[in-house]
Amino acid sequence: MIRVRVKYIPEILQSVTRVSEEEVAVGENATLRDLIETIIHAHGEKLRAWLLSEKRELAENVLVIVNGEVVTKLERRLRDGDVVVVTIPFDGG
Amino acid sequence: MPYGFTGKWLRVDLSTGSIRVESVGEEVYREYLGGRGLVAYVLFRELKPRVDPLSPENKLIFATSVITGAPVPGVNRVVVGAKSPLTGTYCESEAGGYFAPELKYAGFDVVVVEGASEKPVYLWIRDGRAELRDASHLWGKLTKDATEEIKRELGEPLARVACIGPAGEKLVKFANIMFDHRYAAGRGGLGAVMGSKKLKAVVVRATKRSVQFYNEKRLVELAKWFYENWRKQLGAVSRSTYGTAELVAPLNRDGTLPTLNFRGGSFERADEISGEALNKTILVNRSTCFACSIKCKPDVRAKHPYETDPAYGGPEYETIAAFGSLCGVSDLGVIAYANQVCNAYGVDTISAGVAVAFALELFERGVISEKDTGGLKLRLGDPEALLRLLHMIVNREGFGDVLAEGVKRAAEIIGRGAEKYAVHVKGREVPMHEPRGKVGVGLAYALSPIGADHLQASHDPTFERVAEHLVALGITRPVNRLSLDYEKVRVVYYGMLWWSLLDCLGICKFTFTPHSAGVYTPNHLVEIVNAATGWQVSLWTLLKAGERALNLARAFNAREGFTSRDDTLPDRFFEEMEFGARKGQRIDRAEFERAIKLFYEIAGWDEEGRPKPAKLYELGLDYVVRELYSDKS
Repeated sequence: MIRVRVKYIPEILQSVTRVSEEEVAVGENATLRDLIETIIHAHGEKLRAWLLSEKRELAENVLVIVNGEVVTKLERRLRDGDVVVVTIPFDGG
Repeated sequence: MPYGFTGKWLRVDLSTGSIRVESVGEEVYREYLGGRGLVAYVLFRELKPRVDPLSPENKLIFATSVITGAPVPGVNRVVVGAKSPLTGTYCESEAGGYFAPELKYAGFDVVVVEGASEKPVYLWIRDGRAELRDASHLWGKLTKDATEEIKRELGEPLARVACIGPAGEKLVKFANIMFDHRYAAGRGGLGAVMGSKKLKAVVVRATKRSVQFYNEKRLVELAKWFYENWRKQLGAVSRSTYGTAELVAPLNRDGTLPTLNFRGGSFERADEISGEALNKTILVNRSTCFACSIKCKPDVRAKHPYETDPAYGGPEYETIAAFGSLCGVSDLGVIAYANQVCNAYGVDTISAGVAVAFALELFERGVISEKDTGGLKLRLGDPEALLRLLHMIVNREGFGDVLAEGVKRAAEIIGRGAEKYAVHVKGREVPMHEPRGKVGVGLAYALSPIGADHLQASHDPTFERVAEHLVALGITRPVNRLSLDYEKVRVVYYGMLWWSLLDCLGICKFTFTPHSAGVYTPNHLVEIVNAATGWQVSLWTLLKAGERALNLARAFNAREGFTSRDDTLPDRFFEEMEFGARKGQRIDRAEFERAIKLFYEIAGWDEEGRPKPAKLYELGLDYVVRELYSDKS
């Protein structure tokens, strides 16, 4: 198992996860897709429509940043100690 | 009868009291669509260069668009325009709510107000008829009191009222126009233009619908699609749950929450003014705009000693940051109260907050003292000082009379190096988005035809990943938020064309992607326009209309004497951020200037930022070429 640090930036996500960040354990060869499935499993199916598109890719209005780098491919492999930020590209308001 | 618009404009001359109905042909709507397009069309063609914005020669325009009134969420904002008394530039400002569809249903696409009345009046429009009525008894009244009294005396409780408060009457340079005392056409001082014309209010009521849409069934289907799908979008749910206050916490964490007059980007007590905090403390309800299910507007009730009336709405993100982190205040009750003062007296909350923060910093640095403020001690983070100063501004009392001119002119009046702390572009106070952490926003601030504005192009984080809705606009490569290279210039340019189009159509930028809260895509917009009008336009045609309006507004400014010198940012943004998550970050001035020059070339503007003849011809604006370049032809 490897452990990654997941940070939930939008308050709406925190209202579901109940935490602003947490450590999540995933398999040795886990991908970002595996991590998101783990998060959905832990915090509820409500997150599925928010985080994933109908084509089962990353939802268009979601921004995932792994160790400071924006990642759009769910096949991205994760490593022990990675920091994954889940947010939305907050626009003018 | 055309579809989507009535073809009727109301032209009101307050100097003579005459009211005329003009018929306008379809070709004008095809080229300009409405909103910004029509405002720029009227101002460029009808205003003489260099008129005093507060003189009878200025014109005040209320514009709808070819899709206003369609039973579709997010497409029903009213666009108000005039030459700005704050900046001297072209100006337009948009408000949500219900006024725009009511005006269209009452039979008019556009109202143009000219001249100035000798005594206070209001304009009463009902089902295709209009009259001017005495408003002497309403002069001096707060916006809600005036609105209620007008409805009572007309016996029209369902009328929609655009109204100025005492600040507009006193010509505060950033006075706004309040719609039903809670939706604001906030920026640029349009309320002062209305005040200079002695026009207290514009009131509309439609008891029948004077406009037809080509394919009502399709419009209803498109609305239904929105209602069924918005809950799947994380950003839309966030906005529905917290309103724009959702931005406080993430921007604070990111180091881009403007704090203490833009000295830093993180506020230590941001948790106390976040969306979650607002929901838990002062929120009593959420209101919405015509046909929209998102309901992002807060109604709040703050308690003693800052008791507020939910009928005035509540503070949204810009207001929360402007009176909160920017002034060092973390009491949501104070912020809600300040918001109410602004809505009741009728001033822009952004400019007011920036003006207060400017004064607080000047005092702290010893540039001004109690001698200037009439004995008032100012301190960052002091709620009482904030509210006292705000009251002085809206009433133009003492030092408030200086700040009521806006920070640019106030700094000139004060002297003593005060301009170093005046955060504005072209005289318009910078809104609550820190360009040192999203530099494309800085480009848009500098290039916007109305001065610093946060709704001219999508913000940089939107461009950090490629998504289908960006591909629809021709953006296929991700761009780093801190980059100022050619890719950034390109996406800001495309972003400005898209949002210019949305301002032509009177659209809420939160409901359309690319925006974090967006639900509809650019292609949905094409469907909405074609279903409303029966036209067969493409996204290309529509973006060209957005480009045409942007160029016309820029041409207006060029004719007024604005040049590339004005397309810049305040010095503060070229200096390092003093604290917060982005401490030490700054914009490189040379890099920024190169980006501006590249933008000009991409846009077809000359080295002074003026649209070139070839670009104007390409957009069908040959009359602008004749006007701008007459000395060379």
